[in-house]
Amino acid sequence: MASSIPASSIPDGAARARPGFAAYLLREGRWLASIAALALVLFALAAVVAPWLYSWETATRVQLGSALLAPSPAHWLGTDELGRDLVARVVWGARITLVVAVSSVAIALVAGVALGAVCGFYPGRASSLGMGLVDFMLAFPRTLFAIMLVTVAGNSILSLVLAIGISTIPVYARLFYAPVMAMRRREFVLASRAIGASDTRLLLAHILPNLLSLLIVQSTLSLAEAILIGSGLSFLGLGPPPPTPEWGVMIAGSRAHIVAHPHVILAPGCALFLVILSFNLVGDALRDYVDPRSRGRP
Amino acid sequence: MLRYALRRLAWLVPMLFGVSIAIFLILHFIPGDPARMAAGPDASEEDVQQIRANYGLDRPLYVQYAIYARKVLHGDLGDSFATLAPVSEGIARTLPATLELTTAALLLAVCLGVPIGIFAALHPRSAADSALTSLAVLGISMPGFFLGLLLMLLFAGTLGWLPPTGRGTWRQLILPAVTLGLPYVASFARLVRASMLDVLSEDYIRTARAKGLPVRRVVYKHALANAAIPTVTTFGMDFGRLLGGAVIVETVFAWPGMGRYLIEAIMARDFYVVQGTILVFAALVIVVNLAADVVNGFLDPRIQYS
Repeated sequence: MASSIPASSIPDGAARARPGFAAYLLREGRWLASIAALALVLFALAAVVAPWLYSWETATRVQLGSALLAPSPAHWLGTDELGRDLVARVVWGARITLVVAVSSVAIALVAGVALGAVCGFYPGRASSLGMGLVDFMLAFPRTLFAIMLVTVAGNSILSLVLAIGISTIPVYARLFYAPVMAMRRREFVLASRAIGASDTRLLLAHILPNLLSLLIVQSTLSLAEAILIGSGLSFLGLGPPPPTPEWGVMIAGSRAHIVAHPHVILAPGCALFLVILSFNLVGDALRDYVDPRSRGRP
Repeated sequence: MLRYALRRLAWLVPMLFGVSIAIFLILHFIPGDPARMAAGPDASEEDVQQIRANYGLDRPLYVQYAIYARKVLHGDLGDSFATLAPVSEGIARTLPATLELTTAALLLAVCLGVPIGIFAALHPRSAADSALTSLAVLGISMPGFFLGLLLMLLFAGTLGWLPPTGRGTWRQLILPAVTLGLPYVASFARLVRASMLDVLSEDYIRTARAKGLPVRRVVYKHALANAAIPTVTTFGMDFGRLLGGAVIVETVFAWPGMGRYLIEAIMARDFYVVQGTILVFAALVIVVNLAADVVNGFLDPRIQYS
């Protein structure tokens, strides 16, 4: 993408030629972020190949004869209270988690960036009102907002995606509002306007490509938050219904057995925690990579 | 000061109206409307019509809202479909538990977070400082329900030190409050650290040091008062997130608060309870944010005039 940005439009302080992100991680000795990146690759891989590893049947069919088995060579992570293999369920859970996270962040990103960019590009009474609404939504508890939406739409994976996606829109609107407003007055934008570029072209071809790094960093962190909120809603019973092998649903279903058979909680719980942690670590590293001055800042 | 506080508090009225309209509209998008929810899936069309007429649900939406707003202003949030008891009674019963839990969690976050943040600001780039950064990432990555279950497994299961669920004694408060508050310890500490570092590089701090004031006095009297301002603002904004977390923590520990009341109402499709509790949650968030503004006006008189 970087090569498509005209040289004149690169903001101050940004290096023109940079090493790739992977090279950056290794060169700077950020081993924790490197491991996190590797974990995310494995997570995505598991999500993609889940149906070839285990059938949906294996992940959901009740087999009371083999209930609550401890981890063994036959079942690496043991089985849950209904006798289902936990590796199969955790792997399928990765697939559901990835789908929910990516699609909800995509919704939020498209709608939020559009809202923030338009409000920033056309400042005025209407856009102040819009951003006032955005600020208000940001202060409102996102879990509660999502709960309301799920109540309206019924509990399914689709309404989970909509609930997380819509409640994340203000994050992107807020993030893009000020930079777009500032960039509107920059010389390269004024120059394009002078030679007759339309507003749409100014926004899409000149302003937004400059904010791409902002978008990538925020999306990585948003994925972490989407998984956190989504699993919480599922845990509350507002996500997909059982026997769907969603991690939050799995934990809610098995919590009665936590003391006698902790592995039923630890398998999905650790998967959940590690994936969220990895997204956050990679997001932080991406931020430092994109803007080296940010290192060590909260 | 009083005028500023009153002016800020006057904002409560339009904001509460706005949020009540928003909640009302969103919840009225429910397919099949509350009447069908109340009647259940097996009800006949006549029954649904009857309920609709009883609750005034056949009138235009703005009339419904006007009636609803009038009732809310008189303290009437409607009746539960399931128990027929007034929603306001249910909220009066469960709200104290939620406030107890969130207050305990916030106290924990402030009492641990602020001193840690000050220490990290005074010793930048020390081991404690970098440990804080790692802990903050762990804090925002840990789902509340998983942390709660892990703490329950360790302290109620394996060690048997604390009761796993319920409310009544202070020992039952510990696990839910720690679960809710722990992730905020690190984020609070980071916030205090960042604000302190900003303030410590100001000229007036150097002046205070140069005229011979002891470090302790400069830090606690001059720097901390000014570093508190961004901290209080963020505290107001975090409060909403904390309430969202409380809904989950209450479910994990069977804590009889408003969050559990809300979740049970959603499961039972109890429309007026859902609407009422969400309205009260929103009102709490608004009040706490305005209170944070007022406190900031007190901490920094310049804010009152801007």
